[in-house]
Amino acid sequence: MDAEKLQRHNILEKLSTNPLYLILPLILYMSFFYVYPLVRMLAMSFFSPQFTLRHYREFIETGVYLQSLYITLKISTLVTILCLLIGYPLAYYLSGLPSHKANVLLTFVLVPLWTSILVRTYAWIMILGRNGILNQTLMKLGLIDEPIKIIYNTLGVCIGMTHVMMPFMVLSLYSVMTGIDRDLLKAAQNLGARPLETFRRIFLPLSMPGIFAGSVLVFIISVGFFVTPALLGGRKDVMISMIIEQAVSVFLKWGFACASAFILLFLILGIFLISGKMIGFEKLWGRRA
Amino acid sequence: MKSVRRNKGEFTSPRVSLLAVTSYLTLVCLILPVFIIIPISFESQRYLEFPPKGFSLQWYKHFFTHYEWKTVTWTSFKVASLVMILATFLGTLASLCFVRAHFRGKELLFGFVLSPMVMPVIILAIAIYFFFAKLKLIGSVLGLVFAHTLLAVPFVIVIVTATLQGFDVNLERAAMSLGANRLRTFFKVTFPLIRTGVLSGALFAFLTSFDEVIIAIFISGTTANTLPKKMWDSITKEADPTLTAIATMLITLTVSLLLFLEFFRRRQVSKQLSRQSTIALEE
Amino acid sequence: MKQYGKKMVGAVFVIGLVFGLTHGLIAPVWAAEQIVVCNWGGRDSDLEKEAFYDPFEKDTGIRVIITSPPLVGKIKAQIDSGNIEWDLILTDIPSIMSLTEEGKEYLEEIDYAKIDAKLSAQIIPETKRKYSVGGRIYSFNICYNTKTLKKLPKTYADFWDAKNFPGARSLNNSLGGIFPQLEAALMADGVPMNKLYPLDVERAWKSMDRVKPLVTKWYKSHGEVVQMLVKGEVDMAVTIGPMVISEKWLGAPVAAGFVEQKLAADNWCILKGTKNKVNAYKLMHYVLDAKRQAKFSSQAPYGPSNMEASKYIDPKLSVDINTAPENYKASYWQDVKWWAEVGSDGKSNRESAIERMNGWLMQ
Repeated sequence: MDAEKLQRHNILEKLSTNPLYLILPLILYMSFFYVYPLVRMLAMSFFSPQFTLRHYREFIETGVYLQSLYITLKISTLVTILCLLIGYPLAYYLSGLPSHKANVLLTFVLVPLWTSILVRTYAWIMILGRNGILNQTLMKLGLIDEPIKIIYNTLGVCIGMTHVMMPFMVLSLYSVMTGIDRDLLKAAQNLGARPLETFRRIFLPLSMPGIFAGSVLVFIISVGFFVTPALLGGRKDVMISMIIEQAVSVFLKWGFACASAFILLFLILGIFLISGKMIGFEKLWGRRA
Repeated sequence: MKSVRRNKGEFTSPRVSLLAVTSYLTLVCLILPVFIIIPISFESQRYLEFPPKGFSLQWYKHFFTHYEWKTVTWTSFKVASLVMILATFLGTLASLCFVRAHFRGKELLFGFVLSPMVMPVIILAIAIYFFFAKLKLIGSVLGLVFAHTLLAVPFVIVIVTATLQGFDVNLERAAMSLGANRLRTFFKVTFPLIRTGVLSGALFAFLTSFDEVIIAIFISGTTANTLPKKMWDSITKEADPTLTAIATMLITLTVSLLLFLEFFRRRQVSKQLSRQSTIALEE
Repeated sequence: MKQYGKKMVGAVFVIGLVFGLTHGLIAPVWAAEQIVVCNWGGRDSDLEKEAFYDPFEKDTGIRVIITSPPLVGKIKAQIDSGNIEWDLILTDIPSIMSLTEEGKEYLEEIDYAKIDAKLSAQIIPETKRKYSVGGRIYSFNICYNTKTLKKLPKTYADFWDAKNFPGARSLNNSLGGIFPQLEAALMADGVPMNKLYPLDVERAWKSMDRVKPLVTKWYKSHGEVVQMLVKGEVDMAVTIGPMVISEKWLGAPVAAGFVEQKLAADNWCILKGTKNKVNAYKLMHYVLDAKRQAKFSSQAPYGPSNMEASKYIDPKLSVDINTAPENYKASYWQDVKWWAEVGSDGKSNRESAIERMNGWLMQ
């Protein structure tokens, strides 16, 4: 190999030796298509065209928007709690199964996740409606006389959103639970602890990282929901994303839309960073060096 | 209270069967809403009756004869394919970096790279909408591809990173010490072992783009209108049961892809097992 | 070496695929001429296609691409950025006002010389305006499901009366940009139809307070509520009558009343700066044609803008069209001027009403 070729070869080796270069394409991509548009949007919220705080002021001073924010947080919290209550036992059961069986059942959890959200929400519209599948079936079985109202209200939204978010919760919990050493539980029982106590004092604390991760994930994604509340909700179930969409499409108040978007973003960023500090991100890429 | 010891240290008691029952019930509740659309898509009447009264393929026919539905499906397919390629490429490289490199602020970078996944899509949608309007990318396939890739990459990274966890770096070191350069090592050693993970990531990227609604609502246009966007318009505007037929076909697509993935994974495992047993026999 | 050969072929294939997929779509694959129409979508669009666009395509060979809805924001964005996608749009007067009276012109002035004189004379004169030509008359009616309702409401006073007319109601919310039904609220409160404008806004909202607890679902778009009426999810609603009657003609157990109906026009406009003006005028001759309008109205009972069209409509179907003489007697025209009036706070009556509804709904 002559000198030039050697040099080129060395540069290539150098480039491919340092793994940091691998992430360069993505960083460039995200800077252009992600960071820049967001920064631009931030600028749009402050300028119209001169520097002004009026968009932010309008959001904070008009009661409607703060109320919408409150409703958003309320629904997201409800959904998170529901996911946790229903998802925890399921994840616990799955984590106790031999892995080939668990994999099969996990597919049941994955299928909704891989199905279009429109399809899932549409299914709920058909199930929960006044003349929907649930009511028609219950009435035909003679269990109820009048249709029950479980759609176009907060209950309907929660049912729909919980169904959508459940896979995230179950997968987060499951991945942590499978890492819990079952021998610890055996040991505790051998020492005389009753099943309930073993669970409460050993398993539950060890599953906390999963609970945190799952809850934070579900909560944050719920806050930004748009499709499900728009289709299943009642007049009071106006989540903040619907307000933002209205500002852009109906009112053409672009500065205001950007300001609303950023208020939402900072809220989420705050939650994310605080909880991120608590669970630690290394959980996601393993402890191998 | 008597405890029966089973495998894997499950501490059991009569309560466990209750756990099993509720778990299976939950799984049914997760799946049922999705699959219940299927029989309804064969409904012969125009409005919903359950159980469906007559059998008919008219809604499927309606889909295949209306060129708007066919056009948007083709557009969605094109966009999703391109997103799959781009996102898998960017995401796999990034995953390799995260698993190998160690530097200060890695956590932050990882969080940053994953952030599009947890960011409310509406924020992304309008940021991109305003930006792309300037770039004249609204209503174009490229615009949709760029936007969707942003959403898809985090999923690829999460899946591939998880796969890489079980990866033994020594295999790479061995290959390189035997004279292979980085690129060759990647294709001959690394990639075959993480193939399933990358494939999972690629399929997930495809589906993420194919099913994406919110960004599509904002930046699709006449020449590039996606299937979810048209479905959204349809749900909010029409009494047309064609949607159930489309939904059924989408569910079939999803399940097929999942089955394909599972089949592929099993083939990998059995290939490895047979290779190992051949080696064992030779010794 | 063989492996590199395979890799090269693979790489070329991928690059070719990528190139083909992107370029095949940014430039339209069809080299033939085309025109882009933006309308309100839904079933109406399919019927328009049958009545107007398919014959146009057949006769001229120009492909009609349909898209929806004609959002003012999107139109402004297109023209401001120079990236004009739409040629001909079908939209309402408030949108047109928004596109022409706020300083910048986003629509072309209609050159009536380009429209055949005989045809032009057949169009309802009031709908021939500077930037638009009337396409059809739509209306807001009291609509209901005839299977689930025993007593059918006739007037808005009935709609507001839960005791004598029980049933689940639906009205529009503010999220989709549809006007709050303040006129309906006033008429329910006793204001005679010919004394509505200028609207007594405070009285209207007080009346709305009375109907609020009776509403099961506040809809964002008309298609949504028509669907719910058809499925029996709600018993009565205030929405676009022609859309509901269109379903009735398909066999759904729904109907609409014409008493106190609010009339307004959907109009055809040409986007400013479109390169497709010639084809736009060609297509206009199809959408304004009497016989074709009759065909359309025989399936979606909008009032035709061509006064000759009624001659070609089956009299049995005519009774369900909102501009039929019997029905026209009991109706009023929406006063778009009043809705567009800007108050002291710089907001139009429409904007103020929608904003007020945002907050009102959450209380």
